This record gives sequence, structure tokens and C-alpha cells, in this order.
Amino acid sequence: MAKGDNLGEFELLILAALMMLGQNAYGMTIHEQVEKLAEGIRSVSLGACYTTLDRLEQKGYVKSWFSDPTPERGGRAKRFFEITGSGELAMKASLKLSRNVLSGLDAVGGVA
Amino acid sequence: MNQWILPLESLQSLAGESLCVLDTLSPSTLVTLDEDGVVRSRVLNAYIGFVDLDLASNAFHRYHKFAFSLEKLTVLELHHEDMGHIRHEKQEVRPPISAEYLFYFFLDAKNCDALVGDLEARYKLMYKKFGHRRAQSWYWKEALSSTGPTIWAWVRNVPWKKTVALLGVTVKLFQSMSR
Repeated sequence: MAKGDNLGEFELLILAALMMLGQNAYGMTIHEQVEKLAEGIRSVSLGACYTTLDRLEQKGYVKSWFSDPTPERGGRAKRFFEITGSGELAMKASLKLSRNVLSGLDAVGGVA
Repeated sequence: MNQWILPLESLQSLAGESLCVLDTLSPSTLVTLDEDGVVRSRVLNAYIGFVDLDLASNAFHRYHKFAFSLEKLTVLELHHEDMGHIRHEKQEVRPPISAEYLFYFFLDAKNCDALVGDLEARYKLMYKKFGHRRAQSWYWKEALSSTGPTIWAWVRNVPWKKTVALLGVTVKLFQSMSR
């Protein structure tokens, strides 16, 4: 895996949320899921979710499409997201790296 | 003036059409209040608003408490104590437009629509559950916290090299012309 393919913390959170949500992954549900995952660690804004999703789409880790507009959204469409195959691979590689770090640290007494 | 409460069956014939009701919110209203607390007004004047009859979604049943009075189908009358209810029904739930406006600066059209739509849908839920004030403060908080990352992403996407090069050329041209 090339150096530029590494995922940031927030990107990892977003990809994990996408995997958990499946077909129901759009802005607000992703935001809620990420907030749950990052509870007590960091605060998350909806804008940050969208900008990160855009970045992940540019990297090819995520794909998106629009639903029909609805009146409760002021006639605006929902933008749905889905993780791609390369997104899953990147996430797995990132998690593997984290696990390696954890087991390495455990070998020397763990993290306080 | 004759007074009667409209039976629901007679309203069903109007389903899908617009029914005129008093707009007591407007300061230019020419509404008059009787001694017995009855509001009078004439239909199709400037102070009359429109409410769509939507029997399918049960929307009209919310008005069943009102004492409607019709005279030649041009005058509509209701009791004063019901005005608050009408005001509630008529007000369109809209998030603060100035907060929404922030996103139009820094987001592209597709993201802006999706993000503002998400916020608007949640705002309407909050409005229903917790009322105007809490919904407004929630919306502002979300809008402001979302602005930071969107501005940052916008700044990163600006083609700085081209902008700086263009500025350099402009300055150079300006210098050569002023000599």
C-alpha cells in the first residue's frame, strides 16, 4: 500500500460508519453514527463529515448518489454514500496497522 | 349574519383546493374584532392567507374546533381564542436563512443541497419536539461548527499556484505600465 493511501483517524471513522449503516448511509445518519463512535474522544460536525466524504470519494474509497427530493428537506435530495472495495481494503489495512501497534505495545507492558 | 359550523362532508368537496382563512399575523391586517371576540374579515383581500386542504394527511381535522361562518362564501369568521391555533398551523417551519447562507459561499452545489437538506429535515423535527428557540439555537450551532471544516476544505481546493502566478503577472504588468 502506498504512503498516500493511509487513512486518517476521521476517515477511518467515516468508513466504519458507512459499513455499519449499509444502505441507509446519508449525511445525517453518518454524522450520528460517527458521533457515537467518537463519543468522548472528539466532537464531529456535519460539515466535517461531508468534506471528508468528498475526500474519500476522490480517493475512490466511497461512491455517492442522490435520492429524489423530499418536502421535509425543503425540496432537496439526500446524498447517499457507500464504501467501495478499495475503501474496505484501505480500512482493513489501517485497522491491521492499529492492531500491530497495540500488540507491539502490549508486548512491552501495554498502554496506560 | 348566519353562523354554523361547517360539516366535514361539505369540506370534502373542497379537498385539493385552497380554503381562505384569516391571516392574523400580518401587521397590515384589516381584521376587526367583535365584542364577543369574533374576528371578521373579507375573503380575497390582502390579509387573507391560504391553507391547502389535505384530507388524505388528516391536516384539516386540526381545524375542527373552529367555528366557521360563511356568508355567500366570501366571509369567514372564527373565534378569537382559536387564533393562536391558526397562527401555529399557518407558520411555515423554516430554519434561519442567514445560517443557511453560510454554506452557499464555501460548498459546491451538490454538497450544499445535501447538507442544507439534512439540517433542514432535522431542524423541522427539533421544531416539532422542542419548539422554535431550541431548534434555532441547534441549527446555528450546527451551521457554525460545520462552517470551519467547509472553509478549510474550500481554502485547500483553491488553486493557489495559479492565483499567485496571476497576481504576479498583474503586478508586473502594472509596474511596467507605470514606468
